[in-house]
Amino acid sequence: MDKLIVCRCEEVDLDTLVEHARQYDCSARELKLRTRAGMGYCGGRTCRTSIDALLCHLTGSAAGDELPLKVQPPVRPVSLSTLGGRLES
Amino acid sequence: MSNMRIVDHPILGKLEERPAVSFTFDGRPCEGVAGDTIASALLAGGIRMLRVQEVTGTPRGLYCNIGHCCECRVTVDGKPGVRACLAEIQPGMIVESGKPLPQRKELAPHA
Amino acid sequence: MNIQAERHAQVAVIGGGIIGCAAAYYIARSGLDCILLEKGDIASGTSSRCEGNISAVDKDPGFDSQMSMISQQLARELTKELDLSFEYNAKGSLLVCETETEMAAATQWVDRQNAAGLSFRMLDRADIRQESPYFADDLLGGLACATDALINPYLFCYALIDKAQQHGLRVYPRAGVTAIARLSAARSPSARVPDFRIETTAGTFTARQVVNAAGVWAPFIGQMLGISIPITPRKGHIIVGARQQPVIERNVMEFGYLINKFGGTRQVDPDTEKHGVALVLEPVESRNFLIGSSRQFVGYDSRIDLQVVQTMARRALRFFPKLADFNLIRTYTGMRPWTADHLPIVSAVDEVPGFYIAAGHEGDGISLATVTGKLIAQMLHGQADTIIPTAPLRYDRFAGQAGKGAESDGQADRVQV
Repeated sequence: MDKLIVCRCEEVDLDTLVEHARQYDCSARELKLRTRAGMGYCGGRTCRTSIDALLCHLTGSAAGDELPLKVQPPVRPVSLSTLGGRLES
Repeated sequence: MSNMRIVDHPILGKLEERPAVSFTFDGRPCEGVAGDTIASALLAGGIRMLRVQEVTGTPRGLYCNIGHCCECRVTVDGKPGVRACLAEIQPGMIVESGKPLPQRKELAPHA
Repeated sequence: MNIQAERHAQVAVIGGGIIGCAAAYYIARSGLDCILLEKGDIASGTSSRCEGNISAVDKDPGFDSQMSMISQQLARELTKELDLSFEYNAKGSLLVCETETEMAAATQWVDRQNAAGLSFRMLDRADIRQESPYFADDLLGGLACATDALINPYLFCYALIDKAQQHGLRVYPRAGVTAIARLSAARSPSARVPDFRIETTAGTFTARQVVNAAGVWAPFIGQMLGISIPITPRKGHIIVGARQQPVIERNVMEFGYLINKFGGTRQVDPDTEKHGVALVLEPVESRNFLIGSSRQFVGYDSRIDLQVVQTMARRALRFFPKLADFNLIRTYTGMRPWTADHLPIVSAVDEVPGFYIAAGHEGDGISLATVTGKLIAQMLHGQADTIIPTAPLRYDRFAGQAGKGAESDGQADRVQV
């Protein structure tokens, strides 16, 4: 069977996430840093709940027990010219 | 370009007639109807691949279709990162698919 | 049998950022029984909210530069010693100049650095264009440092810990230190030095020697032993640019970065001055790029300040106008541990025998982690011939100065980073 992609942006599959979570017994944020899942273009909005659910399943802790992955501005991608104050033409 | 658009649905009935809109996708002439998004116009024509994952080159296309996942991002009239599922096609629009990044150069140790 | 054996070690390193990880690695590798206590996760603080430069290009010629060169050499060795990758990439780095004044200063900088044994060279307009097609056409040139490297700072932490654990290091994440007591000699009559009892959110530990590698939190640790440590958080923002096209192959900073870092006047607009903004653009292994930098003293407030981010974006556009259409996907902040003389504190503390500090690296934590770790390990062994001179890094150089540390103004409320 083909790999099951969980984070589409960074192309991180389920096996990779499970292996890392088991080996390092880590938080969602550390799993993100180790595998890049959740660090992609969409800002983690597509895969974040899956990763949290996976960790709950593996560690038995409820989602929200630990610090959640932060949502920081920009809430969606913005061009450098927009952020730098140039008017969009 | 094959037409996959449902024009006569057993429950929803006939699709209303709408004017055709021409645009290009990677230089190829394409046609949709007024009100199509780039993604729906291309999908109707059987085109599913809108970009590739920049590093792995894996083909990508529509996923959430609601402007959330950014999987469908294309370049429109030179502007990158436009979500094909939200952008309505306009006559003469130039749409380009996302390409893979070139291989990393090995920098010569000159500096 | 001592049932608390696993909670005792010869050395306790407090802080699991890049300095703590490097220290723990070199200490464990040197054969000392060592534990690492981290209040969050390994690298969960500044070390995962920063850029990844191991650079000499922005170091003061002299001691600062010498320290960097040794750190660079140690980092190179670690690419062979450590098992996990940390995306080490030694392509060199550059500074770019806007004005003739900067070009003249750059020429002097290059001469001084080369005289001190480093590998710098001047770059002209054509060289700059070769580095990136996205640069502004009016940039006059700049300079390059050949030995500079880029790494992934949090992967470096993981790699150091991974290998250190093979050398016997025991790691306790989610163990925030709440109190440290120096036990009197009477309780351990056979000991030649006092033991420390360390209370944490994960229970109690004891050690013979303690290394305070807690970065911007080091003053709080010091306070627990009545020691004032003059380290102040200096906030920096980073913007992540998405991988659309390759922008540049190596790290670039504007020449004004040096002035920003060391203090001095620049000819820039009020917002750039106010937010301490100086352009940095770093290509990363994932093919994204990072835009920096800002420097502000705002206590421990780690919230994104959109005005600062906009100022950084404007500064990036000045140097890279052709990146206007590139999309930015994320921002974050990190706190640099600043000291008044821009050198870290890597030192024993005479007032508390057995207590050491390895903190205060400001923007040079990544650059100097390896040499700091090596030096601290040597100090713990009582070694006299250390890898670098220790005098400039002594804690007592701040004696008698009122530090901007933990006990100063109301800015010390501990907003979670």
